[in-house]
Amino acid sequence: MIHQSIFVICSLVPLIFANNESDIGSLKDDQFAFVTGKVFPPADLLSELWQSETRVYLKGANQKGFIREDGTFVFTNVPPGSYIVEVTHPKYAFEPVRVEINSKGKIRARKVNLVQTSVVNQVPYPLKIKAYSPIRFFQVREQWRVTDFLFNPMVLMMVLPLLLVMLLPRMMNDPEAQKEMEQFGNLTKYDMPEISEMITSFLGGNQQPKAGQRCIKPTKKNSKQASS
Amino acid sequence: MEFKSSAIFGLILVLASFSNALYEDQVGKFDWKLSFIGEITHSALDEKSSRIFVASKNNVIAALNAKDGKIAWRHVLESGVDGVVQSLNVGAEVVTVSGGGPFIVRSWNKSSGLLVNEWSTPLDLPIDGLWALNEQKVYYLRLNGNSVEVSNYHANSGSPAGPTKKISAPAQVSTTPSLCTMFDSSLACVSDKTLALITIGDNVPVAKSWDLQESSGNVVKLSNVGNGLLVNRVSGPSQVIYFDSTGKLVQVNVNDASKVALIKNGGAAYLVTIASSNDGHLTAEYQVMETKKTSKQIISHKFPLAVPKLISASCFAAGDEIPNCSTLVTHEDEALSLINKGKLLWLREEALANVASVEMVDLPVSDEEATLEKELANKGVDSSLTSGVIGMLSRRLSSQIIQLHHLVSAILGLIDSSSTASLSGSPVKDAFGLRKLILVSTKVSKIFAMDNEDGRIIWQKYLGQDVVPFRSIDDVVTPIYILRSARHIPYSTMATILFKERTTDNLVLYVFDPVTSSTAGGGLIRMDNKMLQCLILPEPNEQYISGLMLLMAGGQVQFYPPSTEKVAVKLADKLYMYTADPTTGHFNGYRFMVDPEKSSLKSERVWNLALPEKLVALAGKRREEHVHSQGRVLGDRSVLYKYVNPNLIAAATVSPDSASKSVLDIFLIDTVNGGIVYSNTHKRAFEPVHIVHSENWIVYSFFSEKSRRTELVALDLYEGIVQRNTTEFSSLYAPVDPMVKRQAYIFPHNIVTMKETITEKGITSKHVLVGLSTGGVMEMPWVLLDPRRSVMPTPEMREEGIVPYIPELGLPHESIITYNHTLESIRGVHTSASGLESTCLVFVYGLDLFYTRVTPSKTFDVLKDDFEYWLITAVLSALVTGAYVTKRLASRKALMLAWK
Repeated sequence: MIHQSIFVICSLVPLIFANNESDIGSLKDDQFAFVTGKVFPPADLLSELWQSETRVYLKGANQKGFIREDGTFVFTNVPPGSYIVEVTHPKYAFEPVRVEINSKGKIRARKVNLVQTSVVNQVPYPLKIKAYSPIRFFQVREQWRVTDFLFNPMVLMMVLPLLLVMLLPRMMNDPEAQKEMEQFGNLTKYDMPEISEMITSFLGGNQQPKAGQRCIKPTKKNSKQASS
Repeated sequence: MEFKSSAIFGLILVLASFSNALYEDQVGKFDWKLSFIGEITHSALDEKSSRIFVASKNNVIAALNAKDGKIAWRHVLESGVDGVVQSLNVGAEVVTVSGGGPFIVRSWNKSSGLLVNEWSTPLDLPIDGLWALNEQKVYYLRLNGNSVEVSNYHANSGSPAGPTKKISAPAQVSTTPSLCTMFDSSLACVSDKTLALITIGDNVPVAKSWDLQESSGNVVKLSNVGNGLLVNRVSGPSQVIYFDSTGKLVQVNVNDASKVALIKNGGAAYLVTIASSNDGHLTAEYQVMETKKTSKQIISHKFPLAVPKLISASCFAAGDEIPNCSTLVTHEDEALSLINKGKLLWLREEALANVASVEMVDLPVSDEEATLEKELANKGVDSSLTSGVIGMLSRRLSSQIIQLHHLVSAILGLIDSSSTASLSGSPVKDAFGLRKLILVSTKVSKIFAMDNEDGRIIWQKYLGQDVVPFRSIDDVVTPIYILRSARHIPYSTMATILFKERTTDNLVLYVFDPVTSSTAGGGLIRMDNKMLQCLILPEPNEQYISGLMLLMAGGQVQFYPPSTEKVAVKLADKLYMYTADPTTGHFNGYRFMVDPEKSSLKSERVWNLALPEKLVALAGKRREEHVHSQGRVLGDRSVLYKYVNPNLIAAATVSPDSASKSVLDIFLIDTVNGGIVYSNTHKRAFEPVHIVHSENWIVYSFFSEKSRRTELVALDLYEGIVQRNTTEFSSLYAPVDPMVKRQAYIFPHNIVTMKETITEKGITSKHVLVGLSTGGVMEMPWVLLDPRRSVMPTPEMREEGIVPYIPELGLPHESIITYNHTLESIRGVHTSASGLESTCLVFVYGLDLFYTRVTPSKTFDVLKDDFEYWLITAVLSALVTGAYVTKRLASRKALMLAWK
């Protein structure tokens, strides 16, 4: 953080002095000041008429300022006090500046720090207000991408077991191992009908032939296996 | 510094989960914005650029396209008297004089609207002077009886262009402001028989006078009408005075009831007369003064046109035919219209720039659903067997045929199912209850019903000048009540808006059907007394009308409709009312007793309370609000019960103090027993104060002068770990003292208004919508305002989902629901529940109107609008075909195996 060590308490635009001879109310005895500054737009706005969409606000005061074509603005007849100059634009965010006018009409400008109010971080006056970032008002919509889909944990969970089931038997081409597997398979084979088949045959009584077919299949297979 | 940046980073991480912003392709999908100017006070038609430059009562300077009335550019000047436009002149640039103490002279570029020059006059100019502007100079004229002081300034620098000159007026006239006006760079003053012109310019001032033709009545007013002068007299006709091409003075009598403008162009003079006829039409009459050739047209619009108030015109002759005039008319109802060649080119409803109150009204169901409802409603009513059974059967059949027809046509694409228009053409309710009617009443007592889909005006009604809105603390208000909703078919919707009479302050009710605008059995009802307070009865009568109970000045109680008094008599011991006087800070509480002889109600004051100062803000709860959850489950599985007192209001006063300049006091008052439940004091706190009050919490904002920032304070009220009465709340039987949790936050913007979101059942979490002075509306999750946020949250608190405390409530730009729109001078936000629990409808009003929807807990009850129907259809069909193909393959494989 660079602390600006040198600053000029500005030799400001001369103020309008109230005529003390007249009987104007106490409010008008104050010395009104001009708050001036210039807005520096980001480079990609220079091509369009950025001034018409840019607004300057003097928060805390009723005075209004308007941007001219060269980017300068002025707030006329501002009474002493502390204000925040804010610039808004639909596409870019600008840094706000706190402006303090004392009762003699002297103006100093500093960075806005709402949390640590005693920290003074002076900035030059007349104000130079620069854009600091483009504004993102909108969320970015998620797009469907193949990689997103593939690296989805659910997909990975499905794909890996599939690989195991499909590829592992192929990889094991060793005949002895196959024999062992078969023996193991014969051991676990019981002469018990599967529960699911029982239920299907029970529920769908008229689907006897199909059920029969299904029943035959494993036996044939088994006989073939046995013969081989 | 390190700490701060890390804290902000943490906040951004946290906020990412709360913010539910718009996607860029959703822009304009369910939001719209309308821009206004306000009631026009100054206008100038510029033929060269085909633009109209106007200044309005809302301190706005704008350029309108003459072709379509759209705003080309617009600037809002200072609010209040500092920005009142005194004078507007269009030359090479638009020059305005505004203000009321030191005046500010500004010149604007005609095409881009950018500021060219700005300077301020000396501070000691009195407000009642006249201004004259031309290309080089700005003249300030101060009229004092028999002389004129003229100060002149250079138009682009503001430096004095010579000494102040004092010119004495001719002896026959006196220079009083009402009898003088600027006329072609000279001051025109008039007396009963004389017209005097004093030239103001760089030359030696010359005063000339002319004798006027004798005519009856004293002159009361002189005004400038284009290139002529209008003289109004006490009695007798008004006259238009102008100088013809030879320099001769011409006087023409005109009708008092019409508005006139006299335009000179190319040696000819044209008199434009706009008058109103009784049936909502205007008659425009153009007369060429030299040839006396007259053309007359009748101007009509789809809505009745109000009486013209102010006109300005520009004319040129089209050959030798009737003059070709463009006339800009400001109507009495603040509408602005342009009449060209006897036709209404466009009309702007500028009354909408000054909205007083808003309500969103449910629409009735469509015709076929209404027949179904009727069928259900008639069940059991018909006692006769034949008509009952056969009638019901036929009704059922017919309604089902209608439904079938609609289904078939919707499938065939004959009817776009989304646009639900009934046979009568008026909008009807959609399936999700998102479509509603926005009922808007304005300061000028004009009522609008707008479609919330596109902001189209469905109907409008101007109530005339003798009804005016009520005053509230710092604004005006016209309370709107929905007496009967659209749910009770075949009864129509019934609404009422409360006004007061301009002269007597007596109550005026406007009773109408907000859907059709018909005033059958209602209309404008004038009461013979002032109203103190109004209450909508909690229960409807047998016609489903919830009556209005009106506490009148003097303490008597009246009802509208009067038949609902029976309902009130039944509920008498449960009804309480309070009145608050914002100027004194006095509160009164009333209860109601049944008068046994007349079986009517009478009021009795039961408590009064005097707060030390005038009120700056007051907030009660919304009647339609539902609190879904009675408590909060804490980390240790115990329940902290909410203090949900429906009778609680929050009031704020700001009082001057010698030690700390200004002190803000907040009081929570139970309006049934008059007790102060809680109060709090902030030193060195200033206005503006805004309060939001909902469920068991209150959020208020003020400007802290000590640290020069806006601060938000959240109060959270709990009954404790046990709930005293689980079924209902009572303010009367041993009131509970709530435990109050509170916390303050720094808010980095200036707040203009605040409002909480509301949903149908109150299940969805609440957000606070904050209107900012820079023209945006920010959506702030209540979780961030939660007073239980702690700097060092315990694991239990984390489990509850409490966010660690950070003093500054910096929200990302995504939370601005108005996105890149700038809404000028926001005055209020209205929220309304939709048929979907997740969705809340938001209407922002000020100089611009903006409507959108917010979903505080995201759209959990409806598919997102980016839901990929095609993807899911493709996946499903792929799965189905895959299943069939594999089945086929499997059977083939089985067959092969069987053959082996």
